[in-house]
This record gives sequence, C-alpha cells and structure tokens, in this order.
Amino acid sequence: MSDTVIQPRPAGHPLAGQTLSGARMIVQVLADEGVGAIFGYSGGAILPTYDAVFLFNEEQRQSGGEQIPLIVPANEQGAGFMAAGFARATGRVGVCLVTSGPGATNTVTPIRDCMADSVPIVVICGQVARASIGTDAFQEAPVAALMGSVAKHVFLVTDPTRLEATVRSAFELARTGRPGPVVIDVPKDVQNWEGVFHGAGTLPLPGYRRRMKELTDQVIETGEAERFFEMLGDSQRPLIYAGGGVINANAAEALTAFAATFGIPVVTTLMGIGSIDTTHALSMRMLGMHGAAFANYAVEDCDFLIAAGASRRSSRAARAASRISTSTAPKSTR
Amino acid sequence: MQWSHVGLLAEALSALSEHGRRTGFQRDYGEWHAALADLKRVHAMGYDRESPLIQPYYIIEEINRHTRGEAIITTGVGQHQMWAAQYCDFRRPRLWLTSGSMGTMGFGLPAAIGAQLAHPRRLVVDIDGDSSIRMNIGELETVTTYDLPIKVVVLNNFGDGMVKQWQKLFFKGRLSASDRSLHKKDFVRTAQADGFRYAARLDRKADVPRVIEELIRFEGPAFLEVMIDPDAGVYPMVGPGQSYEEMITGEHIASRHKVDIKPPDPSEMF
Repeated sequence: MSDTVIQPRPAGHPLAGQTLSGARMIVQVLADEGVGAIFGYSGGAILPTYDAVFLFNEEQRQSGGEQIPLIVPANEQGAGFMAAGFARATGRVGVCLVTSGPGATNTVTPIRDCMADSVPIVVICGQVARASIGTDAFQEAPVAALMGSVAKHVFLVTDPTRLEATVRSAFELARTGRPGPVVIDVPKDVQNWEGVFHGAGTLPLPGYRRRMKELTDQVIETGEAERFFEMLGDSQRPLIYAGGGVINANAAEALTAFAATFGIPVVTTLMGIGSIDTTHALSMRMLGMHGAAFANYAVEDCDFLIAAGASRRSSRAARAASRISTSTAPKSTR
Repeated sequence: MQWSHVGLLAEALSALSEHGRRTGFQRDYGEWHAALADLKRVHAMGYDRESPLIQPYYIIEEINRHTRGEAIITTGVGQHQMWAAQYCDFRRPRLWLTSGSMGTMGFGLPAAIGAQLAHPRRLVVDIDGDSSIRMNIGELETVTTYDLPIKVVVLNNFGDGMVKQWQKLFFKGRLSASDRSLHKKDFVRTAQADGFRYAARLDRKADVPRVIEELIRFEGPAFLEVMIDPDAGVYPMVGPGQSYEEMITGEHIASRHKVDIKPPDPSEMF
C-alpha cells in the first residue's frame, strides 16, 4: 500500500475542512455510511469513541437529524452476531464497536463466523495508546495478529491522518468482492487526536481494486453463452445448485428468472435457502447431509449440474457432479 | 465437459437468460419435471405423527403455518437448525439466518436481535436448542431491554441432540458429555427473570396449536420452551464422507436404496 491517501473532491461534505477528534471522525464516517445501528460494549480504550457517539446523537436530537442507535449486548460475542444478523437480514454492512483486550477477543468467534459465511461487518476495536502497544498493558491484546488470520482484513491505525480514510475503506472492503468482516484497531490516543476532517477519500488499495475490477469486468461472451446453451440443449435432466453466494450477491431474482425462463429445477445448499422461493414449483429445497431425500436423489439423477454462488469444497454434490459429465459455476463475487 | 464463469452473479445469470431468450432456446423438460414430482411425493419429508411425545417437526410445521415463509428465522446449531431448514418455508432471500460454515452454537438469539433492529416490523423467530441458546443466554435480557418483539422458541431435548445422534449411530450409544437430563435449568424462569412477560413451557401435544398461535400473536418479546421427544433425530442423514446412495432416511421417509448403516471413517467431518 502506498503512503498517499486519495484526496477528497472539493466541496462536498458539510464538515469538510473542520478540525475534529479521531473519535468524532469515526462516528461521522459511520453516519455517512448510513449504518442504522451500532452494536457494542464500552470500555477504557474505546471511551472516546463512545463519548463521540453520545455527542453525535445529542446533536442530532437537537437538530432533528437521524441518531444512530447504540445497542449494548451482554457480551461482545453477542454484539458481533447482532451486527452479523443485521447484515444478513439487509445486505448492508453491520457495525460492532468494542473495547480493547477482552472486548476485542470476545468478537473473534463472530468475526470468523462472518468470514466463513461471507457476511459484511466492520468491527472497530479500541486499542491501548500507541506508546503502550506490546507492553502487556491493561486490557491489551494483539488484535492485528489475532484477527489477521480470521478476518477479511485488519487495520491497525498508527497514523491518525489516515484514520478517516481507513474507516471508509473498511466499509468498501467489507461489502465488495466476497463480503466479509473487516477489523479496525484504533489506539486510544488516535481516537483523541485532533485533525482536519476531509469528508471524503479512501485508502489507495490498488491491488484489491484492480482485482475487483478485473472480476467485475468479466462478462459472458456470446461464444461462451452459445457453448452453455449447447450443453443445456444436450441435457435431459438439468438442475441448478444454488449456494449462499446467490443471496450475498443479491442475485436471487436473477436466479429465479433464469430457472423459470428455461424450466430448470433448483436445489439449494443450507446457505442458499431463499435464493428461490421454497414454495416455487421449481424448488427442490435443500440438498446435503440433512437435505430432503428428494433433493439428494435429484442430484443423483441429474445429468447437468449448474452451480451458482456455491463453493465446492467438501460437498457431496461436487462429488456427484464429478461423476456426471458436466458442471458449471457462475460464482458470486459480490 | 465443463463450463465456468467467474464474475458478477446476477449479471451473469441475466446475460444467460437474455441470450437464451434472444436465440429462442427452448427444451421440453416435462419428463424430468414429472420424475422430480414423483421423487417429491414418494420421498416426502415425514415423521411419527402418532407419537404421544411432541415431535420437533410438528412444532416447526405449526410455526410455519403462521409465518408462511415471510418471517425471519434465526437458529443456533444442531438438530433444531436442520429441522428449521427442512420444515420452514422461505419466500425470499435474507429471511434464513444461520451459521452455516462455522456452525457456531449461540448464533440464533443475537442474530435475531440484529435482524429485528434492521426490520422492526417483520416477524423474527429464533428457533433455538436448549444447548445452543445457553451459549449466549445473557442476550435474553438485551431483547427485553430494547423491547424487541422477537419470538424465542427453545426446542428442549435435554442435551446436545446432534452430538447424541452421532453417538447413537457411530459410537454405540455412548453419550459422552452430551446428555443433560439431570440438569436443573429452568428456562421459563430464566426468561421471566430477564423481563419476558410471555414465557411458557409447552409439554402437551394437544396444546401445540393453541400455544404456538399465542406465541406468534403476542405483541412484544415472547419465550417458549418446548419439551420435545428427546430421541427425535434429523433425517435424512448422509453420513460424513458417504454418498447419497448411503443416505439414511429413518422410519418415516421412503428410501430408494437398501441401506446398511455403516460407521463412517472416524476422522471424517461432514
């Protein structure tokens, strides 16, 4: 990653050019992202940001603007799963705000859960002040190291001038590509730092954005489409195998239209439930270890399995598909 | 022969639909549809409807009769999760919230809270298990603190039902650490203590339709513990590492293969 921060467009955000605390910047970016709710539990290292949420909501109350509800769980694991439930039910990024040390480590399970099921959340953790990092300070945990192996991405904000762009970039990373959890570890002194708020701008992320562009630029060329329909034309018993990617990519409508246009029945994975109305005539419900017997038999009997938004790691359907001669995989990337 | 495309899914599917329409692609899959309709009829989901014990499938069917595929359903992990997946309808995406890949027990209650905050007016039902809900049972209090009208249904079979099912099938019935029938937990009083004005225990089959209706219609947070048949299993079941031909369908779902239950490789997962 280069050191430059893409500079904001001139004239935009009403607070652009004002001096704000790091904590206030975090809250402002959350408000700009339209987060709807923050799920979290307070504590020493995140106090400045909790105070900024309080002040923000107070301002909003006075001006008649929209406040951000702060929902407090019994345990930070609950906050992580609440953010995940919010994200799964809406497709929007869920937000979790916790303190350092145990606050952060309690979110490891929901963060890993969100990674595994491709659920977009942003987790903001307080961290001990920069000078204390690595000293076994009170409520210190090595968040970047812990989360690095379970999250989609982790930021430890050491340069406060990049805080604003980092928070904004975390949302971009969470919701694009394969959605997932992004963690921002913010030392307490970075929350208390004051600087100029730009109101726009993200981190450069050149590699990630190039890969995303390459992926999203992919279109099905006519020749490829022709080859697909040749295979479908040769098939007597085609079957769609829909996974959670259909849901994550907001592709359920397109999938149902595709199935209905050509009369192709659909089985779903556990995560793909809802990618077609289960009461639809073409729905063969869930396959797999505890899938309906008729769904699994349908997979046994089909001669062309069309996988959409499904991973093929350990599934029996993948093995079944390898026994039959054809399979296709338009995979989800959004 | 294989065909694959990696890109944006909705756009890819729409492009294929468009290509097919433009080129007038049409095939009659009538025979295949008829064969699948037969499979659905002959190998339909089924369970012991005559049992005097409350069958978990019956509970989910009753919930589904009211929710009609329009409610958000969250779950923990285990048997109740699979029963919900099998017996609930979902008319659209983002109604079925479950921990699929990680399989995290305790997911259901907090996920329901997040979903209800996102959709204040939609019915949200947490179908949970007695072991799963205990993992994050502190969040019962969060439900009432924010007065979220979530319906929490705990299917209590006294222990880790899915673990017991595997132990019965593959470990000669040695229920190591999975049976909690001697525990003294009182879920209803737990819910009451956390401020649930509706907190009930359902233990008579004859009461099922009335109580489920009461629960769903209750305005505000509601909690129901259901004492289910502790031996109810999840069927069908394809053992770990086994093929569909080896699928165990149980006594109430017709199988088309004669299946001998063979223990799987003991190191196989799912």
